[in-house]
Amino acid sequence: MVVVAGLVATPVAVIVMSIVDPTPQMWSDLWDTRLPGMITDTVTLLVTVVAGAVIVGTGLAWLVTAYEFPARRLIGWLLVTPLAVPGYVAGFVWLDTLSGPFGPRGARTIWLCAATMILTLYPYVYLFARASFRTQGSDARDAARTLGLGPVRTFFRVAFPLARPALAAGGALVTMEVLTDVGTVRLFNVSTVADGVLRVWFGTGSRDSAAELATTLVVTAVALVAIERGLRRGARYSTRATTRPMVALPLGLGGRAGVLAGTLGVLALAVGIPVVRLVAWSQEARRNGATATVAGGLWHHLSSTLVVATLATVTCIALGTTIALLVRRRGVAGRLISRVSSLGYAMPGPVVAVGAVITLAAFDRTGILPDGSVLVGSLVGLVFALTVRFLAVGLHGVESGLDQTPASTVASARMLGAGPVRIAWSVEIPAARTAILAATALLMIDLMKELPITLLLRPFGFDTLSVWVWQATSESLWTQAATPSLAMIAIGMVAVGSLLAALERGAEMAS
Amino acid sequence: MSGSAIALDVAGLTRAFDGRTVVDNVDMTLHDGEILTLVGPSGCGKSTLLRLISGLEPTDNGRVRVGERDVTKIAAEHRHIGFVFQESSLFGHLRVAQNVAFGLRHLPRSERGARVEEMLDLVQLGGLGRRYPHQLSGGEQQRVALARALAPRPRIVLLDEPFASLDEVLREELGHQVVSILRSAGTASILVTHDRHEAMTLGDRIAVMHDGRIEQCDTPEAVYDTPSTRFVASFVEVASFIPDGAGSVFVARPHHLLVTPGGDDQVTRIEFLGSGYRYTVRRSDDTETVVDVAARNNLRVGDTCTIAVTTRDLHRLA
Repeated sequence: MVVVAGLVATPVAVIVMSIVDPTPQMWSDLWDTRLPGMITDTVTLLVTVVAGAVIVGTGLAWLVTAYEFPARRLIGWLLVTPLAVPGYVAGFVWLDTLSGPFGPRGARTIWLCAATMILTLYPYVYLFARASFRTQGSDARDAARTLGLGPVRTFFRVAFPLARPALAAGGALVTMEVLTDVGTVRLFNVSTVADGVLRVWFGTGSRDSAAELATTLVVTAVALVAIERGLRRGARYSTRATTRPMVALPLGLGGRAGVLAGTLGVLALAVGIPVVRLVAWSQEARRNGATATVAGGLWHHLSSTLVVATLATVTCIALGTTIALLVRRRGVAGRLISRVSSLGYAMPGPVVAVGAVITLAAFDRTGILPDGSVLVGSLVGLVFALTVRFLAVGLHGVESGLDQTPASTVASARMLGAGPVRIAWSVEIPAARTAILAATALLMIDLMKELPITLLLRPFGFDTLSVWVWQATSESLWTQAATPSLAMIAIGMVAVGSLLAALERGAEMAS
Repeated sequence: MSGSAIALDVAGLTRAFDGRTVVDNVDMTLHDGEILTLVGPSGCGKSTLLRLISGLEPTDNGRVRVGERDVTKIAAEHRHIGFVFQESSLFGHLRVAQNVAFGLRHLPRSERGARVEEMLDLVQLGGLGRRYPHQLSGGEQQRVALARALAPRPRIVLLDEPFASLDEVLREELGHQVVSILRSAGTASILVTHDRHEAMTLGDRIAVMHDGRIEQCDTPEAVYDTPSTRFVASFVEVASFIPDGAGSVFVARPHHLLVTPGGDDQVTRIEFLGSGYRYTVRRSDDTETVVDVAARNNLRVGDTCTIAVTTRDLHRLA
């Protein structure tokens, strides 16, 4: 496991090492030209999107758990589906749609970029908040009502503070997604640091300069991982399920209409309108025969996406489970390994790609592999880089599942003669299986959307759906990007469905 | 019990956390079939002592022997000691029968089913084997936990406040049920509790623990009548200490005393007990004494009074 953690951390370490030998020229050039703007844009986007996602996600979660209205259960599920829409897909649909009223230039603003990101990222907060509101039960809300608090004040003074650890966890996920995004920001001409790394690499061709710029993100990432850990520590103590589950309060006619308008409005903006426009574009492309002109067609891209996503998901879950079990058994050493292997998740895709290429190239030069085969540009190399980036999703998912097995249950198994392997296999992992399924679904969604790493490390001729969308959108060929976008949303919907099924089962078992 | 073989022998067991000694040089023996209750205030180290015996917690010093076998260096999973925890520690993803069968891997499959049936009957949950733990009440869950611990026929079973999470009525009923199950299984047991009443009524012997040490380990009668320390005396039942004039004290239980009007002492509280009244008296030397009387006399709170001893053989603390 130490070897695995070391391997996974190497691409990050390679980036950090680059700062030891800085290029002052690059820094002063950047500082004089783009860097201040990059930092301003990154911070503005980060604050806006995280605040927006927390407000939208928490608000929606409170509505669907605390109040009764028509189709509440169905809407509660549907509100997770924007997760299946990649940010850059929602981005180009809205860019085109709003180019009408605002003009093509007017639509390319940081605020519209933030708005589309909020629409696709709020489900992360929503999921955490909903789970937290459910486990809070009615007690706190009812107590607040007996003390004379109205619904709005109850939300702000009781429900929201109680859910804070969960909100922080969801907010941390959104933060990492924003720091890491390159597809959406590029569409709206927002120059963030992550985007800058890509531009420096492609613009100057200097891997070293790109790596140095990337260190600023590494530092931010390390701080964020630490903060998230700290907040989760608190969450563990406060999510004790109460005996009485949350009972939804009935709403008046006006209230019901308002809640329906709000929830359905968000769904229309995040999923409905994008899907309708994509279907129209995709039919137009079919009439023009545009789809057929893309090398390999839909099936090639679809199967490539599924192969890469599945391989990387299985790797992340298997390694994540092993490391998570180790953390429980070997306190300090395990936690260190866990933290080191989580770093990649907070890295922007291009940073991991740069680090992974440097690592893999160094490995290739040793000539250990037979017949002169190389890892750079191979499927193995691609899966490695994706694992570096996404291992944390598997790890955190499995960890949260393992936390549900109380220490006394593990001790019971020991007293009945079970060794560590049998305890893991027949007690801890089965108890964590819904959490593992949920992590698998999240990984499939993330990996299917993934762009920069796939773009830079894919084997020659091995094109995924996301690569197709990237190539078409960078030439503003929206009609050509529509079919693969719909295919991605379809895969995403299947994954969101299994995620919901896993979460529902988990909630049932906990009650 | 002293005629039967020794099931558990603990000597010099010690454990410190961050320089604070939680279990301090504990010696203890347990005979086959015997039920020992381990009682003490919370934080006295009783749960830690149980975890040391089971091997769940590493020892700093001392040794643990199960029968003739020294298990001090042996991992918890190889000690063959049963353990029942405070909270339900059942495997939530396994059915009741699968929970009970968990420790029976050494048995051939055909015998496993029979043993599980036998254990479920023993804890009076026959027929519930196909349920999941969350479909059972708290008391039923703890009985399953006991069946699971007893199924592999351990020589001793350790129970760490198994009724702590249950309400009082259920506690008392389950307490007696568990003891009769342990007796019919014939397994030597240590039952940890912080409830002195539970300790007195359920155990063949009581070990009273205080600040990491066992202050006395004896039959309930002996611990009650001839306590070895002031702590033991007042922990198992209300006690008053009456100076013997030679630097030592007598231990007086409330029913050993009588209170009469007039004198240097003063009544500070009167409680109705149902069977009589309990007077709390502040004595002239500023100590408190508790007296039980069958019928109420005309004393009121604040009146002066005198304490008298009604028996000749009060226990004198060494």
